Amino acid sequence: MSTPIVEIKDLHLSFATWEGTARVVDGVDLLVGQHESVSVVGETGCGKSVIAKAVAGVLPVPPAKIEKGEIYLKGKDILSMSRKEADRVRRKEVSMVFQDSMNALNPVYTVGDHLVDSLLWKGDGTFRFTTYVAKKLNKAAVEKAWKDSVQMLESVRVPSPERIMKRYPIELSGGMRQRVLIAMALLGKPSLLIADEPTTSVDVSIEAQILDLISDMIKREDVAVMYITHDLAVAKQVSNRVYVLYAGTVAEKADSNVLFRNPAHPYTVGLMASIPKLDGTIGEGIREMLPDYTAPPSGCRFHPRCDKMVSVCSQDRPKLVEVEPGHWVACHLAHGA
Amino acid sequence: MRRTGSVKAVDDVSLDILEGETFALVGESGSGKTTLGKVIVGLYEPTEGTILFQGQDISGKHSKVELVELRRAMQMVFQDPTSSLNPRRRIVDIVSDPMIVHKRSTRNGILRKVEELLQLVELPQDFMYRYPHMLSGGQRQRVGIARALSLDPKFVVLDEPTSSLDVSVQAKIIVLLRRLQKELGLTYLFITHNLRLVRSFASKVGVMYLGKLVEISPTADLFENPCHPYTQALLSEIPTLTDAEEKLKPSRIKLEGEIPSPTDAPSGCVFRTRCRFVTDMCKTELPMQTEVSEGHVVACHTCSRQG
Repeated sequence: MSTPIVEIKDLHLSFATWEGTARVVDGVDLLVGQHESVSVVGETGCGKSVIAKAVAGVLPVPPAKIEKGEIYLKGKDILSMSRKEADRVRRKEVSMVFQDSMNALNPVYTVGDHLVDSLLWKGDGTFRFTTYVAKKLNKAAVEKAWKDSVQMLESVRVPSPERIMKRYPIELSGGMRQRVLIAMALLGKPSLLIADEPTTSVDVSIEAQILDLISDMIKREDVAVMYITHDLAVAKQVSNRVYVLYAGTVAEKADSNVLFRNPAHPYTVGLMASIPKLDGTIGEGIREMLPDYTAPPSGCRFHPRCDKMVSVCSQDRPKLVEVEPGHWVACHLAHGA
Repeated sequence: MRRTGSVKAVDDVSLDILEGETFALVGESGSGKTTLGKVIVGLYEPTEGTILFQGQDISGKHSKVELVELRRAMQMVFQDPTSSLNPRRRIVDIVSDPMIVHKRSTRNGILRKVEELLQLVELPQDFMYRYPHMLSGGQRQRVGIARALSLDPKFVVLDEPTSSLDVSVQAKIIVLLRRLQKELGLTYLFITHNLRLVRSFASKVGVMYLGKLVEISPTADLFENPCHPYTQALLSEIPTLTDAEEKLKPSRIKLEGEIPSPTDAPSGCVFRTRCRFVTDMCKTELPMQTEVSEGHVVACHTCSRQG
């Protein structure tokens, strides 16, 4: 069993707010192995983006605070390192693609500037003007970076890459910008690509193209993917394993085909029922709302909204139980295989 | 139709929406669906063409008084519940605004109506004095719906009312919209890009591409027998949840390329640059709407020939 690319153990994360400490992530274990594509699925506010940002190191600390837990990147415990060392590991191993492509790109720089700078700097945040000038004057390095960038744009299927290099983000369509972001993320040859809802603001046909592209990239570039989404159908298409998150806890985890054939956690069941189906039926949603993280429910965080709740649910936090091979559920009503 | 410079946002669109129907307008960016919705309720003026509401022409020249009365019966629920509610006003003010503008009733009468409306959309009465930022996305959308219903309209344009909401919240809003339609006898124009939602919520569908209506059909028929190559491709791209669902849509058709810019729309059939059935005729001749089965109309040279 090779070292997993990223392993999160018992992560507890909170945010300091005026109303109190919001205990957002409350004991999450997560793993992405080599060559794997894993989806972290959940609705708004479940903590999925926060977890991704903690791995990538882009969480604002404070107000965020990692209370407990470990994050291993290729076997290295980055939370126990100094900030500088941890960032060095992250620069090498992790790349992230964000949801809003327009905000992720600097509007006064061309695509070429973005890509070439990515290669020249490889995420090194220590900026010194002299270094900047030196790098830019190194013609050989800049030319190589340019060629590599054009090649990467070709692999992400951007038409006329040479021309696109000279364009500004505002001149590109949403789908094109998303491809540029993916190209930028892959240039550093990361071991882990984190994609945070990259297709939310894109049309359906472009989304389909982007998802195909990501699946191709996984095979071609030998990169593992952590895909954050609220869309279960997208999760199924793009990954082989899925984590369902509810209110900062893992409700269920399974291989994709198993999860969709046989969802076990009442939250997952409710979520799937809410999706409008192609036969015209649609569920009624899940009653109540996400809990207040400053005063979260005791025991199982889902119990106030659960139709199957029993007394133990409000007292003890359920542990993940394997209900069938590769399928784990955190619910007191689930029985081990 | 609307002309601004050289962009035809909506080009020669004709459709009928019957009372009590939920007509879905589907399309991607640049299809013109939102523009069409806004033209119908009067937020934009049509460059050419007529809009008949309950048999009366509301697009022609009318006195301001006549227009106000005609337009009262058509309302709109907007896409983003956060930006469509004024963050500096309380819920009670937001919902009473239309009634105040139309001088509907006394102050007390309006307040009572607001209470009724909040009950109708299943919001607690004490939300009246809250500000939008104190509500969740789903709750804000309910306020948007309450506001749209405050003048007792007959026709409501729903512009992507659930796009910014989570799936479980979306389901609750759809349940609410259905109930309101039955209780109040409403007709809906439902603008969306979410085909799954169309399947569950709409009775009839119009598919738009680059300002043109390429197909109109009763919902079930559209999904079972999609005619236009664009519709087929669109349906084929829906990611499915189960193997059983795979059988309910066309097998995957990959649409290459991007949607052309509306400022530079292709001649003849606007879809020809991405169509796998394209012929020479498609470049020169505009496809006309032809009926392929009961209530099912397509604008495509290849489709009409196959019948």
